[in-house]
Amino acid sequence: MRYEEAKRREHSFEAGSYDVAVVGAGHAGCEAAYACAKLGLRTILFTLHLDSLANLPCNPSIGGTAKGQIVREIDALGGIMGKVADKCAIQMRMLNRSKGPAVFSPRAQMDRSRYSIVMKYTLENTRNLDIRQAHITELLTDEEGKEVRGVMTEGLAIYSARSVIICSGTYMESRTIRGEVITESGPDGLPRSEGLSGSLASLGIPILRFKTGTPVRVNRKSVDLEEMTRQDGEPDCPPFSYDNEMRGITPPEDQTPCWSVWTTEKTRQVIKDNMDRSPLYSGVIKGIGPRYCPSIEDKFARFADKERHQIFIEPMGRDTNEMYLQGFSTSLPEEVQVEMVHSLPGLSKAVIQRSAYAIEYDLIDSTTLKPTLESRIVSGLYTAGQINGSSGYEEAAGQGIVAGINAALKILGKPPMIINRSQGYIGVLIDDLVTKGTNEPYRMMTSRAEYRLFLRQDNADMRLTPIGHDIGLIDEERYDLYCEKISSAAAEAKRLKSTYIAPTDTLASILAEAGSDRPKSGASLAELIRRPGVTYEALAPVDPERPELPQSVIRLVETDIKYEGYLKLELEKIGKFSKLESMMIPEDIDYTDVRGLRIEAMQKLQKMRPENVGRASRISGVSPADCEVLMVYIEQHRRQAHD
Amino acid sequence: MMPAPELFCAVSTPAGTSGIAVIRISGNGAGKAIDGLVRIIRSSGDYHKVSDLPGYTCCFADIRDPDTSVSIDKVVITRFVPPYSYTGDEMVEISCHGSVEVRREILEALRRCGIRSAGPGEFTKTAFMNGKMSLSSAEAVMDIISADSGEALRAANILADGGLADRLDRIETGLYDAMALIETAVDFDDSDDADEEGIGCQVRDTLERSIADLDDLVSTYRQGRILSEKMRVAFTGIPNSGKSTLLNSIAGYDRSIVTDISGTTTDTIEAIADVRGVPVILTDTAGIRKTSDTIERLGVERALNEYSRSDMIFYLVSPDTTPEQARDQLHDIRSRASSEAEVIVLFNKADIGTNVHENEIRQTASRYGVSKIITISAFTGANVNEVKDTIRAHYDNRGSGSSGLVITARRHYEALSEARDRLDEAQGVLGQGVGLEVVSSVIRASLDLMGEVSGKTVSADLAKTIFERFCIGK
Repeated sequence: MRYEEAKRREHSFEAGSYDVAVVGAGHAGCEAAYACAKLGLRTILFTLHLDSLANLPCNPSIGGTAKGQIVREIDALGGIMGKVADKCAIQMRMLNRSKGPAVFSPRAQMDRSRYSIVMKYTLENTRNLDIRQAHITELLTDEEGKEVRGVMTEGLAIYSARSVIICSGTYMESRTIRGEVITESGPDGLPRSEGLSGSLASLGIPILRFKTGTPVRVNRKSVDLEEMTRQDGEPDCPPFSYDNEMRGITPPEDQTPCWSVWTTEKTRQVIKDNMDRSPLYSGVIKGIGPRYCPSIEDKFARFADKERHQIFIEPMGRDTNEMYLQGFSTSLPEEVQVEMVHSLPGLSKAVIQRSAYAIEYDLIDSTTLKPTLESRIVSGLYTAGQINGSSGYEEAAGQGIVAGINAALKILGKPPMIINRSQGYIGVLIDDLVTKGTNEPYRMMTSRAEYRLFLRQDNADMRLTPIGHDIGLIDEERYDLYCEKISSAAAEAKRLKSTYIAPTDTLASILAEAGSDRPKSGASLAELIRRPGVTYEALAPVDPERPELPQSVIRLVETDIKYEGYLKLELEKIGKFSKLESMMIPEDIDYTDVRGLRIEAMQKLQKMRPENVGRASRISGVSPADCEVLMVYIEQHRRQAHD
Repeated sequence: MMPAPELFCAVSTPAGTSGIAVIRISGNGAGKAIDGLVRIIRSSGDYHKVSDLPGYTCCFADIRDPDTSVSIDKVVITRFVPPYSYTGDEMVEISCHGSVEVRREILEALRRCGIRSAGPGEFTKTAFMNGKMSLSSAEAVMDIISADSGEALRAANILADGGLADRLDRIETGLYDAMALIETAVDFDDSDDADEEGIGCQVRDTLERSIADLDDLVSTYRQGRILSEKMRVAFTGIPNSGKSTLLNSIAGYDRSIVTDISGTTTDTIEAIADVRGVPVILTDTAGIRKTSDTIERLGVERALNEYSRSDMIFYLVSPDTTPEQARDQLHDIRSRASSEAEVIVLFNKADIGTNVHENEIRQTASRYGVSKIITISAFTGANVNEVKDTIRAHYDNRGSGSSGLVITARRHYEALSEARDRLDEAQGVLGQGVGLEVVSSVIRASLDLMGEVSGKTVSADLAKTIFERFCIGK
């Protein structure tokens, strides 16, 4: 709706004027609002329900493979998710410990209601930030519909804003589905967002529809844990936040265990007998669901040769008996759900507290976005999280901080911040979304990152903290700590490379322990560490001079040494990649004017309008030769501008 | 760490027409990159390395195979320093002998030093980007790139038609499956599919199979390069033995002047033709005879050179050919021709009469390893079809024999060779027990290279494989 039209509307009123309005206070919205406020902009954060701020409506955990790396990256930039998660963790683990450090991924179980409370309290105490419960139904623009002016609530309150960041999650025109029962509702029985999606569509923004789902919750009192496999946390797991890590703050001592069971033949039978009542198969659900997070009936149908599937039972918090059945999401009717749950070992008498459901929701076509997450259709409009087709709390928060920072930088008249594919999982995520788009909820996986050995959870601060500091999200005190850490890591790496150890019996026995041969002559500590199975710790007896260093520094140095040869290859690739990324395409380029482009490439480029040649090269239908032609054209343009 | 400079090379003289060929290398560090291949024999000043050579000076050098150190050719090397070179970067020019074999071996040696073949219009583009060409030439540069890439695309289409894409697809699919195994274990730790030892075994099997398949594929370039570089077929014989008539009959138009006066063809005459789908350069060489005519003697010299670079040589015997002439000439051919070249004897002018020494000449032919003898009449066209079939058969025999699928473009050959080397490396990593995520990263590098040929992008196709193959979920 036009801003002027909203003002003329009977009973509408001006409720406030802000630099930035953030719509939706989920994981994306909280990060976005926090970043804007921290950067000094007057910010308002709208939520449909104040008690559900930063809700965890699906599994009560944060992190995991690739996702844990994203949380570390958000923290490295100066975001908030890692710090709140550290406060609310009831169990922490480092996944992939048996594999290489490149794929170590922190994951933590959250006290779900505490997470929401701590986040709310933190934001309430953030300067420049107002939080308001309201239902936003209209995006307000200038007369041409090309520039954002503010938002309007259901109650006709008009908030003017220079930028609007929409983080609507799964709430826009959502409906939940349990078998034949369809309810117009948001997740967790919360109210849904109505009108906003139509408001976006009227501005020419393409709207899509996705589906996702969540499993049942049961009462701990009603289950028999004896029949399940127990999974404990790790007391020495590093926290998500580098700030906490550098200050020596560790996860809680008393961690809560999780449990796991396998589905039984009965589970399979119950599902098979009721398949005709599945809305996914009967055609009721039209939205596109994610392949990586299939419902349990989907798993049995698609992988018919697999007789059983593993289910994890996770506590929802310290002050509740509610437990979450990870891997058991379903959209079958409630009565079938009861039968299904009762077929599981230890759950034969389980009392269900919340039913499983599938949820469908509206989102936008993410290929209409710039890599800053600003819309190419409406200036000053940003979107982040599930509205852009992603899935997951961490993916949402990662986009939230990028959208928040860029909305702020634009208002402040500063150049945008773009994290590229070689700098972080956040960069891979956003580049995939805006360059390729997605036809299902997009989940981050480490295999999506081409520079995985470099994008690690142990070096996210080295990759991103200097950027966060430049922008102003990382304060001087923390930056000094960071610099100290980096210089001590560099000094230790140098020492390990230049300290030679004689091939003594002590060394031979250490190496034999690791399954490695006795060296023929002296070797540097770095050369020894590079051998498979040999660790920094194991070499302590032959390295009496070693300085006292924090674990985080040791791990960083050790990993860089172990991977050195392969990292070098990856860094070479990054060098080539960066060259193309830094070749900027003039904003006003008319591709019909570029001689030698193939027609398909010309049309795609005209539509997608990539910022640089690197992004152009990743658009399907643009060949390497097209990019070469484009480079020559850019150079021609540049020289003409000089003359 | 600074990325390695991008070095690229190309033969800048036309294919197969000159006695000397020039191979150009561009990119800073070009001299240093080839130091290991080159032994300088003579230079002005006492230089032992190309990288020490001052700009705009030459040296006479021996270029050697990087692995075996066997000499490939004696060459002249010139070094150009930035910014005063064609591209504006450091450049090295190697003037070598013009035979197809020598050029190919030098290019192969350069590839192994990390110098890749130039992309379409790359020299000119680099020159433009480095400010070596005026602004007004920009459009011409863009035209060159798109024209050259069109050419490359056509070469790639031959590839798609040949079903090579399918074969490459099978290799890729196998590797995606192997990677998906690793990635699923990495990304979905909670799933019960993570059995590292079992995965290692499966990956090892796939690697072994893929390396063998890629080897097979890479070897088809021997045949495939003919599709891009064309096969050279020489026709020779005493003057007036009907070479030109036969060439015209095969090429389908009057390329050389045909008369009854012997010695009409004094130069090496070329015609480009398509014989049974094989692109060929047909050469009609001067008939050999003792001569005092200077011009004709030069022609004889050219004919001898031509033998050395031909893939097939047809020796035409007319009813007038003496057994001595046949013996001398077959001897010349065999001593000049490469070991891969095929020699065939044609008894021509069957319409006029037979050679009374036919039996004796046949015996000589078999002594010189002639693979086939055909009786034809170029004039009436009798059995000319069999000559064409023989040309096609030679092409077919060059392949790996399996299903006639070939790599035609040098860049494809390079990418796939490199991809094979990466898989070797992955196998090495697997043996060291460094970690599956590193193995996966090396396989990814290999698939990236294959993607340059197949057009696939690893991230998208890998995700697809993971989702299709494995039941995963939170």
